[in-house]
Amino acid sequence: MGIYSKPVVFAVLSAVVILIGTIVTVFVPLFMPSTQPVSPLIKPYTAIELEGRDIYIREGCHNCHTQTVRPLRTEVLRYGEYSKPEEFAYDRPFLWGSRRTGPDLNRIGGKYPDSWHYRHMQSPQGMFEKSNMPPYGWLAANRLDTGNSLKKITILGYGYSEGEVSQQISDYKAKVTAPDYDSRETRDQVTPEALRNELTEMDAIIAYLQKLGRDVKNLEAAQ
Amino acid sequence: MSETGYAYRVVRGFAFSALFWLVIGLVVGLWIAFEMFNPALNLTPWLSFGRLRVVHTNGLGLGFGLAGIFATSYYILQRLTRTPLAFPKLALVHLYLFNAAIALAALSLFMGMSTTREYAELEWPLDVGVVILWVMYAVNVFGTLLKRQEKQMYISLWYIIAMTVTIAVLYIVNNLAVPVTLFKSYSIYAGANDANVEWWYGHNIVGFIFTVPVLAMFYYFLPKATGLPIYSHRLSIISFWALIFAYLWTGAHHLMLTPLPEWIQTVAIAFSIFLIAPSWGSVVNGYYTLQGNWEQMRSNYLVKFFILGITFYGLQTIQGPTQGLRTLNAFFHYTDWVVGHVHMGTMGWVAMIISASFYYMIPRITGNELHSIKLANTHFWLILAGQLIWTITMWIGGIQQGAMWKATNPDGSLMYNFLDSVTSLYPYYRLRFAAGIVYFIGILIFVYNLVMTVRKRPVEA
Amino acid sequence: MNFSQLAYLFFTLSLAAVFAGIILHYYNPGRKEEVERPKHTMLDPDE
Repeated sequence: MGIYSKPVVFAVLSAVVILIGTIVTVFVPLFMPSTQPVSPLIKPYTAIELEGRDIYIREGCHNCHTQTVRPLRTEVLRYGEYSKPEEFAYDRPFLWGSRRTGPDLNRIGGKYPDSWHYRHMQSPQGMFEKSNMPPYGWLAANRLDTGNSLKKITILGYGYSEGEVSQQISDYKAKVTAPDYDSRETRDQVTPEALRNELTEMDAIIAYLQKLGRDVKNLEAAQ
Repeated sequence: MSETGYAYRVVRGFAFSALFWLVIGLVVGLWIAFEMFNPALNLTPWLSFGRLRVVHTNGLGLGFGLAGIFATSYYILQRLTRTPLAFPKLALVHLYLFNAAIALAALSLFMGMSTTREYAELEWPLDVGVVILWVMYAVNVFGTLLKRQEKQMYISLWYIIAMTVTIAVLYIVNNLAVPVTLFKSYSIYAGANDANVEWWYGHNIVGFIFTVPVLAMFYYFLPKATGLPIYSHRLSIISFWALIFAYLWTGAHHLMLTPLPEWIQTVAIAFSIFLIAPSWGSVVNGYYTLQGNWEQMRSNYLVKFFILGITFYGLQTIQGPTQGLRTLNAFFHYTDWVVGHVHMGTMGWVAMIISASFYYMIPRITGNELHSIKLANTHFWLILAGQLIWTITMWIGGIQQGAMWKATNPDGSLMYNFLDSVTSLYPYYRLRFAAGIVYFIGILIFVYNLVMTVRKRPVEA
Repeated sequence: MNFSQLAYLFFTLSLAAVFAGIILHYYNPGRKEEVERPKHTMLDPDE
């Protein structure tokens, strides 16, 4: 009975059948610029923000937090303006997530001061007694490894030069260790003494969170 | 080797590997279920929810699911072709490397080496390993098919072929990445494209691991266990082609109302609805096979696993397309409803069918009678009750959370803050944990029953 | 109707036609015995 007694032909035919939908809905959009538009108003992540993003990835934050605000009335009320495709042009991988055990984070940047995040990451239950978020205070006890930052930025094609990358790192270090840093007191409380003048993983992940949804405000203002 | 020369050692090896990873995966599942209402179990970085959740999904999807598929498909392949495995030694290497890979995978995920791609979290060196393992498997599948004595390929073999081909395409395309170090890589796709590729993979990996090969088991073991031919062979032909064609279009229903282009979402909705037809083709085929012989539900302990299993598959394949509709998706997406949906498929359909398949297969490859049919019945009722309480709890919790997210005061402001919606779920999370314990006891009985079956006397393997 | 709508309609109709063709082919009464045979042979003893 034809193909049902020819395994190789059958396998080739199966491959063709599964590839039709794949080509139309996945491969073709890859080559359409409209799938992932790029805007000059949305800047790539700096070295510190990228390192923070990699810590977010390592700790699996995307398992509980989404990063897409949907165009629904109550969602915009809760989180802010809905997500635009341009915002994700530099996201490799994307971190939209699939479950909101915690709130969406696509508009978290600038919503709270750094000190709020230091305190919250250190002890979510200290801030919200009944929260089920795991505590991440130990991130402040880990010195941030920026050894691969340049390599990462180069692979991702963010367009920063070697000088810009080291400048971004030293600038951010200067910012969070400066005596007049507005979240200095809280940072010192959560950071072990030996690391107070260094960059920690906690500093980086907070830098990343503060970046989320920041640039898109320029885009929305321009539209 | 048995008198016929069938290679059974690898079948038994994979079957018990599946049971081992099943128990591990469920322990991790119970651990994270507890963390959901009491964060005290986030004792160390590697026990924190974010890292542990992927150990649970990978441990059960790859460890239990794949091992169960390899065990049953190596068995089905030899029986339906009436031919011993083409390369039995290669299959044993596949078995050992598979278990090493799963152990390394668990270890790497505990350490936080994750690409974040759901059901494809493993970093690139392990991806390379998975591809090599898959090639080893495919060599045996096609090698045995080419040598086969029985000319005609029965339904189950089509599903095994389709899975072998499709998983290879899905896994390779989705995991293309540029390595930074041995433990870190970046996807070659960005933003919306990355999301589209990942959910094309994510949806279809569920389809081609938790549906296609499980249907292969269902179409083989149900007739074998009952002695009744499948109701309609031609219906299964239509179902097969329609299923594997339509599946690949539907990934974007996981990305409803995101910045992904709207047309991709709409096409996904249309094909999701169409998928009800081939899915129910298999459901109808299962039910009608028992036409006139429904007394087997009582007299044959295996039949209720198959019938309840295919019933959950039927419910699953109606629920899925329904919650993919834009309006309903706006309500249910991101809530525990979806978690309940997934677990009806895994705890109901997949686990029921693999349980029955193992109960049928293990006595036949060892020559021993099943240790206890009574225990098998206890196992059935415990996993049925555990799964139903588990999933229904999550559906109710999901509806409540969705409603709380949408609730507004008369002045238009939000009625609840986010934390209200989280804490209101804690009672459901406690009940879910309890249901998980019931389910876990059922699984322990299953494992015990099979261990006692093979230990009855020295086995000629 | 513009071009993309027509293309969409054509694509949908041709998919439906292929689907109908497959059904008609396999549900042809003349082919029934041949199409249904494997479900019986798989039950034959295989050891």
